Amino acid sequence: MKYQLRFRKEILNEPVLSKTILETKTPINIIDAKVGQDEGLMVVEIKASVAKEREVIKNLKERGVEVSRFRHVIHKNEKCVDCGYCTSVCPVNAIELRGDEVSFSNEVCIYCGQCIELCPFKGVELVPLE
Amino acid sequence: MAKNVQEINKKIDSGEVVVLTGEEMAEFVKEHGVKKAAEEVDVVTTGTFGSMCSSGAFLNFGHSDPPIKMERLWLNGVEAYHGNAAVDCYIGVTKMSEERPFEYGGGHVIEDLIAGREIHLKAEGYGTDCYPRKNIEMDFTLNDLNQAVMVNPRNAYQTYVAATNSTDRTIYTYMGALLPNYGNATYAGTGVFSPLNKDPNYETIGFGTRIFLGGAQGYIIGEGTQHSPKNAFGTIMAKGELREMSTKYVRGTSIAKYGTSLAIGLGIPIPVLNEGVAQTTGASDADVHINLVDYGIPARSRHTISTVTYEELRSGHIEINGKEVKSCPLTSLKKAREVAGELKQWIKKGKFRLTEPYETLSRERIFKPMKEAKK
Repeated sequence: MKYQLRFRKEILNEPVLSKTILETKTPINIIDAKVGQDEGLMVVEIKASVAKEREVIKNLKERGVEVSRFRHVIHKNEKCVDCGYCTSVCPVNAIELRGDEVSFSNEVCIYCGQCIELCPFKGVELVPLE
Repeated sequence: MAKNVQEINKKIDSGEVVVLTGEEMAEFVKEHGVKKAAEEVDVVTTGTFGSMCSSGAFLNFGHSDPPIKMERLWLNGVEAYHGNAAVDCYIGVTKMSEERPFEYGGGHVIEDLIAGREIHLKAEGYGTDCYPRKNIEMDFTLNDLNQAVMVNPRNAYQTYVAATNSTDRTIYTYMGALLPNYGNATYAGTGVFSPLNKDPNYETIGFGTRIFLGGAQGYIIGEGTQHSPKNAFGTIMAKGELREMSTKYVRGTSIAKYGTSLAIGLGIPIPVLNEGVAQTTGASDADVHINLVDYGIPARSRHTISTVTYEELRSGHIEINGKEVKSCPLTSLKKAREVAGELKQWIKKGKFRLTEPYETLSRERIFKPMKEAKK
């Protein structure tokens, strides 16, 4: 499952994620990380049992991290023309041409944003899941 | 038995015309053979939809009071060319906005015009006794203009290439972002729907051929720039009325680190006049070969690695030096199919009659490189 982590300024200097990984013995895949003046934001993926995931989240929260489900989806909008160019720049093959239409897999997507940036028609969006 | 365009137009008027898209014709010829196709099929429709950089539109604003002779002008911050009469201009699709380069350009201005959106005009003139005004700024829409004519010096390349990159860094080209060490391959063109390539001897195509252009009925007005018939890189010059076009088939494009352009839906109807045309219009994706070119070396003559067919490219992977490489289109097959399909419907419903060109496209033209002074 994918989560959004928010790190307060006070804990930005600590290896929080590493400590959680070592303590819970559960790998955490970092999909995106941005460190700013006031806070750090990360999108991570935890692939483990439900119990283990709960343990990891509890551990992170105890360290002062705000944890929420990453509820964004990548999809094509009405500007997409199904040219298929985005399939060439996706590093994880999350986009494919099914017949003559482009299709996005949120399961596989790592939210690198290349398709959003490179689509000549501005036909790809990352939107919050309602 | 050879047919002619007049006979086909009579069948269009009577509703008896038999029209197939490029894809349907390939199937028909495969199943029934060229002879039967020549007898039974009257028109094959083709289509493509991709960025066509050598495009733009002539606009006429009408005169202000007092009148201005524009020397320089900008449309939504994109400089248009003025070098003709007072209020005539040409907006080219690759000219970029000064404030938002790469994001917005002449192609987007044309899309906005067709969509009916407001465009901001800013113009300056040096002033003459007969054109005393020196500045003007105003907002206008397509309906406020006099003529608004798309005239594209080069459209619809007969064939194009597949591109890849042998170097060790990503390069950003008009063929898209090409990943290092043959990380991907992109390709332009539509194979089975390809307009000029379905009549590669230009038996039916030339000056005055009526075509589908951006959702309107447009015309071929000559060979396009860089027309190169000897190696199947023919091109056309096309014209159409912006007012008759649709943003379904005309879209501004932003090509990362390359520039802006305009994607146009274009289709040519090919009258099946004889068995030769039946054969060429029956070509399938497997029959169309193009060069796989290495864009890594930025030279005029790029190294051709191999040739590939559209069938191989559409499978999603091609082989380069023993490595399996993802192959991805730049041209929208879905839109190409829609263009060919819509043109077919127009003809079947009697809304589109074919024209016979005054002169077919040149088969002899040689495309020369630029003459350069010694370095």
